[in-house]
Amino acid sequence: MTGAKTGTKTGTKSGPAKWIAWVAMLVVIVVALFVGTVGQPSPTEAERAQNLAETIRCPSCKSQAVASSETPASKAVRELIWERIEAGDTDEEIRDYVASRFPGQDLLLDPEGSGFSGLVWALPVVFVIAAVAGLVMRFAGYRAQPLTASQEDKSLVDAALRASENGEKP
Amino acid sequence: MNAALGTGGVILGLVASLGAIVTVAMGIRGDRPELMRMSRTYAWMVAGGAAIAFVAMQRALITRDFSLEYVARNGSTTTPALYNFATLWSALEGSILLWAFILGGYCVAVVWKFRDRLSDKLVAWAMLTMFVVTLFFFALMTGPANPFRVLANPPIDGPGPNPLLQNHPLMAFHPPMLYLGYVGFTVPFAFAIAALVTGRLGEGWLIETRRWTLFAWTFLTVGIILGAWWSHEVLGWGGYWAWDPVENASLLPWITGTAFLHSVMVQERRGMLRVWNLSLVCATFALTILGTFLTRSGVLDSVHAFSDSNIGPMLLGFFALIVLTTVGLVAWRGDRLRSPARIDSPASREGAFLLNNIVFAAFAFVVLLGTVFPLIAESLNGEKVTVGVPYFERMTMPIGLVLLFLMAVAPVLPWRKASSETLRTRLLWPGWVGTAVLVISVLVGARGLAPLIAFFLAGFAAGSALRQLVLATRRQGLRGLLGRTNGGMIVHLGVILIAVAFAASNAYQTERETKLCVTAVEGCASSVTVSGHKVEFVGVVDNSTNARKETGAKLLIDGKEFTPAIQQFPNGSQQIGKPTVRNSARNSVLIALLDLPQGEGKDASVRIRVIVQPLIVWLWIGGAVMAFGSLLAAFPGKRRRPTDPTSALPSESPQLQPDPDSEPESGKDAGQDSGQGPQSNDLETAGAST
Repeated sequence: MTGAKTGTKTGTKSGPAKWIAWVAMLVVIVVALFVGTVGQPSPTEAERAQNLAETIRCPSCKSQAVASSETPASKAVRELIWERIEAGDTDEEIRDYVASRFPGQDLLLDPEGSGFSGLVWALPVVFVIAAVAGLVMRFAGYRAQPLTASQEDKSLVDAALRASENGEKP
Repeated sequence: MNAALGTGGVILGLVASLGAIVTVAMGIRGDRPELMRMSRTYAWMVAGGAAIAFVAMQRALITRDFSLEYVARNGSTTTPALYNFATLWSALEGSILLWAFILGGYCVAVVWKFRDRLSDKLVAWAMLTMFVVTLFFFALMTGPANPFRVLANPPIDGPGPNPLLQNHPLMAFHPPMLYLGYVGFTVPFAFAIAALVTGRLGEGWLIETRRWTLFAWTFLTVGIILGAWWSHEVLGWGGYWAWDPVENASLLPWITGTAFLHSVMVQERRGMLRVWNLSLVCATFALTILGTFLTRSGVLDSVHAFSDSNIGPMLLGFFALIVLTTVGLVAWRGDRLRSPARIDSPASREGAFLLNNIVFAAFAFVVLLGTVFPLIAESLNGEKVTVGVPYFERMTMPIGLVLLFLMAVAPVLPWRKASSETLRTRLLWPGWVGTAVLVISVLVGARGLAPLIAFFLAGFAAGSALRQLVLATRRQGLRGLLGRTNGGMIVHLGVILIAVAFAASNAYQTERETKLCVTAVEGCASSVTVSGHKVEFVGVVDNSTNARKETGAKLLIDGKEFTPAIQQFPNGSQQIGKPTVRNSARNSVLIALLDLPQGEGKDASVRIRVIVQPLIVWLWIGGAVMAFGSLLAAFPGKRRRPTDPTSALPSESPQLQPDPDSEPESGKDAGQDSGQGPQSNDLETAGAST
């Protein structure tokens, strides 16, 4: 916060007064998000069935979800999901149940978070952390050493200047 | 006749590529300009060879010459003319032919554009690189992907292309657009390699190829959007992006290409990120080859796997060659790639571009990892893993939100260093735009945290882009919309439209499966209302032609007539649905038949799926806006050409012109803007000296 000395356009205001508009905006945003997220009805059975069907692979296809395939096997899985929802199972129980009905087929479209397939979730996170850490270290490095031209740099510049005076190409 | 002509064309292209490589290499080695200049003749020969092969194949398809294996496998006497033309790229061999044809076109375009500098070593090396690529593709066509193989006993008719490829006209435009994009990235790649080899690693090569990259990127964007449109109209599930390996293969070069288009500005302006930019250019090209390998060799399972072949090892080998060459050259030239400048503050334009690049790199990493992970798991661990839509959606959602946030903040950041004062004043109105969008979304009934945050950020980003455009047009009138900075803002607006459509259509889709009867009976109504849209069943129609059987159900959607159908092509028992979509600015109603209509006349009944999705049209409008914005960005803005010499006499110094990027209201930016570094005009001077 640079205080009152800056500002070419709105420089008359000072201190916290400058931020009033932003605080007002924040309040509006928080209220709108509150209204938009709180008190939502829990998903209906049909919505749950649809959401589940989107995370389970059609057993007789390659990578399509049962939600978007008309094969007999997909229809069977959708029936199965309905049965389990009506029996009162949770989503996680239903997914485990469906997977156990087709052993060795790996029907779940989002890989498990544990074991070898956990890597597919973890590696991108590691990637981002490493990249941001690398960037932060670069910035820290810039701050630590002031930028001065080395003797080598100067001689390079001199050589280039001499060359251009003589009309040569670099 | 067609086979002989086509094979002749392929051989001409192959020989010309080889001849060009030898000639240009000798010219470079012996410093002989007349040999280097021969690349012009060779480029025309390569393009001519590819054109002859292309025409021969079209001729074979049009005359239904089933003595060619390709025509016998993919053509048929009943395919309508448009789809018959598009049959050329409906299978592997033809796609490679299309690739070579477009590559030949790019070769000619490059030798024409650089016609005065063909004996400049940088251009000569770039041409050499391009001819190595053409050699590879012509070699594919003489070996594992030969489109002109002849059958001893030609059949009388063929099966025609895959039914999914011949029931929507977009199939005639989506692949060529995509390929114009893929292949276009060869040009910046060739210049990057040339810069590395010649050691002329200043900013000259970048600036000369910038527009080529933009050109390729625009075609790739349009190609991807057309593909999404096609899947929405044809597949009948309301989806437009399935994170299928083929789709991912087209998205990967798009991501790295987009990252490059942003970070290139940092290099031009500040001379930084040289290794990174080179890597992005080369990665983009390498990813087009890797994508072709992944999707054409059959190593991955995919609903798009229309073709399999033994082409895999060659593509993988070429990919390895590209990567090793790039890495080797960068390592060799490492000392010259050292950047003279540095970043003063993370809160600056270049800081934002760096962050943008990290996010895009993470995006590419997620897409690549998710695509190849089943392959890795199977080969390393013997484990069968499926990585599907839920994974990609969960991983890319935060990336998309961060990108929207960056689109909001980055455009108002000055170069070098921003004060909190700058941010506070410049972001205020964009912030209110976002807030207004959020409030309106809540008022019209949008719910859920993720979509609401997406809408807010989208409004925020749109506000930022509009602020830039308003400032530019206030200063320069409509002329202010030209040039990269402001054309780029229009591209941003297109991206924002697509992001909003993505969030809305995913979050607020309504789907209903039901049976309708012409005359309502107990348990079977004649109409259904889904999300306020009334769908009424009127009757069954038969729209068969001699190319296919087609049975449709005549429906009234909100009183307007539509006929979704089920098609059956002679070559397969498979029934192909032909859904219909009623689009409006607010939402789209998609109707697909679940099976053939039963009964006739007044007793007919049909089972349908109705999907209502909001804002789908915004996807296609957003794509058009993106294309329009890139067109504007390709026109030169008012900025001086960075390769023009700047050490002229003060009276004619172009630096005295006002910089379109600095803003009138903030005098302190003007000083900051003058600190840019690259004065590299090596391309001009070296070109002039020959």
